[in-house]
Amino acid sequence: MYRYILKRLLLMIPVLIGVTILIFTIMYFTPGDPATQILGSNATLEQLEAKRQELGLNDSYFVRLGRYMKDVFLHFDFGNSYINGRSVSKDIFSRYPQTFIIAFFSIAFALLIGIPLGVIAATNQNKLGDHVAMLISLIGVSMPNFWVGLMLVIWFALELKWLPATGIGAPRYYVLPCAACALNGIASIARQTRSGMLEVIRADYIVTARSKGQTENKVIYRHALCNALIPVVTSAAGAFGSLLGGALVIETVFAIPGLGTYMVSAINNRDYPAIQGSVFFVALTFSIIMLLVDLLYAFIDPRIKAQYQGNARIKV
Amino acid sequence: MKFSRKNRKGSSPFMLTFQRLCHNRVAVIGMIITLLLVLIAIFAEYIMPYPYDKADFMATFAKPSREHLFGTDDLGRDILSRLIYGSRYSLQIGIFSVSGAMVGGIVLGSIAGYFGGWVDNLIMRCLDIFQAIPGMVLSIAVSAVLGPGFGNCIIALTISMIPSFSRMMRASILNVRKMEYLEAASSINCSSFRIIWRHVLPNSLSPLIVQATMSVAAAILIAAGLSFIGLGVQPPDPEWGAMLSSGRAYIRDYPHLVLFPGITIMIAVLSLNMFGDGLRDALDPKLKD
Repeated sequence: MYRYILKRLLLMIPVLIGVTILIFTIMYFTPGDPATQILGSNATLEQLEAKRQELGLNDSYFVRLGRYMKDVFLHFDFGNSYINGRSVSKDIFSRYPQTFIIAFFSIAFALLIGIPLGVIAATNQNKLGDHVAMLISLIGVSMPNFWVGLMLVIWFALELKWLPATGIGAPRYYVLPCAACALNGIASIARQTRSGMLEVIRADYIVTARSKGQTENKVIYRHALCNALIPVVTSAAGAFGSLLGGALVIETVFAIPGLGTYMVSAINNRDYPAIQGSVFFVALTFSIIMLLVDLLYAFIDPRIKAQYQGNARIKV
Repeated sequence: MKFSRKNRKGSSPFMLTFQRLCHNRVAVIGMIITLLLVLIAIFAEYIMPYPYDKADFMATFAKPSREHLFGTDDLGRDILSRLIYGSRYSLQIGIFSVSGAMVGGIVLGSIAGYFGGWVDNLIMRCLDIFQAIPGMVLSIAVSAVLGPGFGNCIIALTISMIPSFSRMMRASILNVRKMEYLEAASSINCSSFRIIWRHVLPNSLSPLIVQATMSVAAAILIAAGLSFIGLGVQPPDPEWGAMLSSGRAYIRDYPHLVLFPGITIMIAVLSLNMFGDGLRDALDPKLKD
C-alpha cells in the first residue's frame, strides 16, 4: 500500500514540472513587454532597459525558465505582480481559500444529492422516478452555472431578499455560489451513478444476493452501489476539476475575491506572473485531488489493494 | 462486439443506428431542436425580426411585448434578433473547436495507440500535463495569451479538448489492435497509415461520434463562460455569453436581459445532450434493455 502511495506521489512531480514549463512557455511567447507594462508608456528607453535588466528579461528562454522553476519549486515564489509589485504567492494564498470553499462544498453537495438521485433513477429504470430524475439532471448539465448564479441572485437575493447577492463573510454568503456551482456536478454525478448502477445491477452476484433472501435495500446499497461507485468516483474527480473551473467564473457573478476574480483582473492587466501562479495553483489542487481519488480507489476496490499488498511477485 | 440484432438485407449500420435512434423519443426531440438551431443559424438574416445591431434609443429596456418578443436591451436592440444571430457564433465555436480537437485527437491517439512503446509514453505524459489543468482553466489561460476574440476562442477550446479525444482514440485503438482482421491487413502488407485509416478508425468511430456530440455541447457552455468573463467573443457581437455579460449590470431592474440568453444556451446545450445520449444508446445497444 505504501509503495502505491509513494509511486503516485512520485508520478505527480513530473506532471507539476510539466505544467510549470507549459504555462511558462505559453506566457513567454505572448507578445507585449512587461517593462512597458510596469513603467507605463511614458518611461524613457533607458528606464525600460534598466527594468528589463532588473527583471532578467534579456536572458535567454532557458535561463529564464530555469530561474522560474527554481523559484517555484525551491522557494514556492511566483514572482511579483507587474501591476502592483506585490508577491503573487501571498496574494494567491489570501484569495485561494474562498475558491476552495466554493469548490469543496459544491462537490460535497453534488455527491450527497447526485448519488441518491442516480440510485433512485436506476432502481426505477424506465419508470416515472427515472424519467423525472434524468430529466432534471439532463437540464442540470445543460445550464451554464454562472447563469444559474445570476438567476439565483435575481430570485433569492433581489426578489425574496433571503440571502446576500454579493461579497463574502458569514457562511450565508456562500450559499448561492455553492448552489449555482454544485448544480452541474449533481447532474453529472447522478447520470454517472445511474449508468454505473445499471451495469452492475444485472451482474450474477446481485442475483445471488437476491436469491439468498437479502433485503432489497441491502442488495442495492451494499452489493450494487459499492461496485457501481468506482466509475462515480472517477467522474467525481473530473467533476471537481470542472467545478473548480466553474467556481472561477461564478466568483465574477458574486464578486467574491477569490482566485477567479484575481485571474480575470490579471488577464485584463496582462499581469503574467499572477496568471502563471493562479494556473499553477489550480493544477496543483487538481493533481492532489486526483492523487486522493487514486488512493481512495485502493480503499474501495479490494482488487487494487491486493495488487500492491506486500508481495513482490507482482511487478509494480 | 456482439450482434444481437436480426440481419436484415440491405440495412447499413448507419440505417440501423438511425432506426434505433428514431425509437427514442427524447433523442428525436433533441435531434429536431439541434437541426432547427442549425437552420436558424444558417438563415439568421432572414429570420430575425430586426437587424441584430440596430439600436433604438426610444425603446431601451423594453419588456417583452408583441413588437419585441424577448424585449430590448440597454441600447434598445431587439434581444430575439440578437439571440438568433448569436446562434452563429455559438454553433460555429462548438463545431469548429470540436472538429479541430477531433482531428488532433485522432492523430495523436492513433499514433500513441498504434505504435505503443516510447511514442505512446511520450504522448500520454504530455497529455497528462494538459489534463492536470481543468478544461475551463486551460481555455482561460490560452485565451489570456491569444487575447479575446472569436477565432482565439476556438483555438483555446480546441487545445483544451484535444487530450480527452486522444485518450478516447487511443483506448479504442488498443481495443481493436489485437483483432485478427488487423493481423490479416498487416500480413497483406498494408501500410500503417492505411491500417489505421481503413480498418482501425471505422471500428472505433462510434464512441468518438458520441463524444463529439457531447463535446459540442460542452464547448458551447465553456465558450459562453469565456465570453462572460470577457475573454471570448467581445460584447458588441451578439454571442450568447457576451450578451449575458453585458446584461448583468441591469439584473436588478431588467432581468429579461439575462433570462433569455441563458434559456437559449440551455436549450441548445440540452438538445445536443439529448441527441448525444440517444446516439450513445443507439450505437451501443447492449447498454439499453
